Amino acid sequence: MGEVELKSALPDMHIYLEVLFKEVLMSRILKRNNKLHTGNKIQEILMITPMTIGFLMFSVYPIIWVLRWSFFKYNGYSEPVFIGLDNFVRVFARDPAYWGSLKNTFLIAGLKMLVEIPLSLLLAVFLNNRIKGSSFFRVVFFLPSVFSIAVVGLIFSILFSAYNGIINAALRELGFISRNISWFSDKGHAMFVIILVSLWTTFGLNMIYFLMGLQNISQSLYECSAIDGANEIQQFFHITVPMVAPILQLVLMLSVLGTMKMTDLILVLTNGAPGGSTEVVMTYIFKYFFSYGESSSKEVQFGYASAMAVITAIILGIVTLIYLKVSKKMRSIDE
Amino acid sequence: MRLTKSMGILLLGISMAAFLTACKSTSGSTPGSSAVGNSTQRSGETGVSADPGEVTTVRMWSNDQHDQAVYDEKIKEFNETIGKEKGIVVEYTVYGSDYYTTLDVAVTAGEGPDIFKSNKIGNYSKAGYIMPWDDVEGLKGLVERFQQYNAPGYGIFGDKTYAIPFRVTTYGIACNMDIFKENGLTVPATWDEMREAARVITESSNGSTYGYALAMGYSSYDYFYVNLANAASVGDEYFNHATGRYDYSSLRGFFGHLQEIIDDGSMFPGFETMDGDTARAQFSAGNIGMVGVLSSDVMTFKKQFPCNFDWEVIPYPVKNAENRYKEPVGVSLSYVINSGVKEKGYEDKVAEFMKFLYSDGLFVATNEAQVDISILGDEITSQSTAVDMDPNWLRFSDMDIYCIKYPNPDGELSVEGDGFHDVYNKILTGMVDVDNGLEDLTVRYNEALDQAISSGKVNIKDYIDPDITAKMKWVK
Repeated sequence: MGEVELKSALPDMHIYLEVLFKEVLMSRILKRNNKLHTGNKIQEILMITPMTIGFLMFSVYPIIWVLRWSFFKYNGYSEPVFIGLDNFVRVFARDPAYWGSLKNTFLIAGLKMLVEIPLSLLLAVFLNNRIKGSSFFRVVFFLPSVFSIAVVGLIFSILFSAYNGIINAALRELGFISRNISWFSDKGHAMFVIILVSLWTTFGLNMIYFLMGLQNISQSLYECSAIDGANEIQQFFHITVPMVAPILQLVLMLSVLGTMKMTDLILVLTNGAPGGSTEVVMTYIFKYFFSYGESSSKEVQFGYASAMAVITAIILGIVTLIYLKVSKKMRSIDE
Repeated sequence: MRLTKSMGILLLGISMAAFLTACKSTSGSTPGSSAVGNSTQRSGETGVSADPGEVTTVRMWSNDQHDQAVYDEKIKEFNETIGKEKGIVVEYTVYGSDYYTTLDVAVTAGEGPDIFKSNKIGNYSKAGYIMPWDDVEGLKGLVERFQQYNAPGYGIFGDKTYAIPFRVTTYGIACNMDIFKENGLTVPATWDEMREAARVITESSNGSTYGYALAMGYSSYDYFYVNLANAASVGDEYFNHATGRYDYSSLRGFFGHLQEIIDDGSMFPGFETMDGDTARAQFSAGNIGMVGVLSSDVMTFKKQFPCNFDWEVIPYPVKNAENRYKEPVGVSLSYVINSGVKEKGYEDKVAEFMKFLYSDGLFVATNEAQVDISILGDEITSQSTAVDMDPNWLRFSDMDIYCIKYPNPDGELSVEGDGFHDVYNKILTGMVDVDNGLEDLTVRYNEALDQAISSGKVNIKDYIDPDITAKMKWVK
């Protein structure tokens, strides 16, 4: 009986030992993993520390600084005076020039986008076909994106110079004009030049984004559609465009936000002239924050500039949210 | 595991080292790091071969590049003579276009130089960044000597003298005399003659030369070539110093005169955004018949943009030559003294250098170098022994045709919306009707003035000059 009991008990013991062994093993592994995990955590913290310090110093602190000063009347050296919401009231009720600059910003963003996106996509489609010289054109089209905006602004201001400018000379030679156009003397012409130059500096980069999207489209889709009798135009609208939709969403957002934050090009090209009519929202705020060069006629007003910066950030945030909501369908190819 | 830990520690070490190095290099390289009051050092360390003893280093900043060579030479002379004797070494630094931004940062951080050229004397005095001169024994003589040229709004704020005006920048119209002779023209004296001359020059050149260039991209074009130029025709600026009120309507005729030149097509193309240097370059290239110039341009047209033709400076033409006034001229920005100088107790050393800075010797040197016009006028030019002075420099230095103008309260006002500079730009580019624009300016500036008076910021008596008419009277 005892032998039987022992025999019958042996498998249980075996199971027990097996379980015990597993538990010990697991606890050792877990312990080791915990150690590993703790070690990884330290490493992770150490690795993100420099970035976090930078983020806190250069992003979080300036945001808190701007929020704080937006409630003050302060020019940097005099005693700050708390004025509550007066700076915000001034933006909404007493400063039409701010809203004019915001209107210009949306106008440039909208008009630029209308040309830039189709142009970039079409060039990407052409260059995606392995035609001779496509690599050369990719480089040429992308090159303006890497140039300094200051240099680009200077070059184009010389090209469009009213006196002895190459553009005027060419137009006169071709018989389109009889008298030189003063490109920066009225809002219409000046805005045209700004949009043109801005377009020239960014379309190449967007073309590269689209090229990346195009290269991920499976050739089998085109082959199947061709068997079904689809022509190239139908393939473009029913395969290419939907397949690059996620990229299109990204490019559109980057284009709009990039244009809305445009500062350097305006400062170099027109500096808001004539009469502040080409001022965009960022240059307008910038001139209240800093006395820009010798051409500034505005007194430094940190408090008011901060209030405008807060309002502009909120407006940009709202625009981005609306855009993301509206373009939700573009996020996934399956949808 | 060990490797990752080591990598983490290494990364942290590198970041810390970089951070500390950056801090160290920053503190070592900041111009103002030797801070006010830390400027006393052993003479052996400065290289001055003086008797053993203490030498005080006085730091001076400005953005005056046009006269830097003369100042460097004279300061070197001071360091080797008076400075050596009295234990003072002056370090003079000249900044570029970012000067006022650099200065604001340094002064507000308590690291400003001992002496500096300032464009915010009123604001700095209120904030306590600069010290009054009246309390320093060694400066009282200077305050008294220049008292007749000083005024509230220039160097006097709250009954205390924080700066003294010492030089002026005069202005006029430069005429390319070769072009004038080719076209059988004489230099214009009235607005109508100027318009006619501009028209003839433009038409005869078939589009290669234009009559006049108003460089609106130059930040002070409105000051020199609109406000002051108009005052010679109407007797005062947009701020009426007799009534103490703003009246921009006095500029209506002048804008009409400019508009006529624009409408004739005689204004240089692209004038709306043209900066001062471009205008000077085009003039020196012979593409412009008449252009606005400053006294400092005498040397500019010799060195920077040399002219290979005869040019002559004339006073800005007036509406009616029979009824003209002197040309008002503002005093140039002055030097101020950091309040830290008094706190650290070496104001006597600074005063010693200020006496040299405002001495006849230095004024004569800058006049002979044809770079600065002393506010003392004939008192300085009569001491000059230089020969072969440029005739245009002599015309610019003739203080009989200029009237040292009384200051305006503009800087004390908080005007919301477009300032007069922006409104002028809009008028000249056709964006705003001249009457509406000037009327709007008059209303808004007077409202801001009333607010400043009621808040006690402006004492209007400081800006009223009962003798303005007599001062502006043309006597030539």
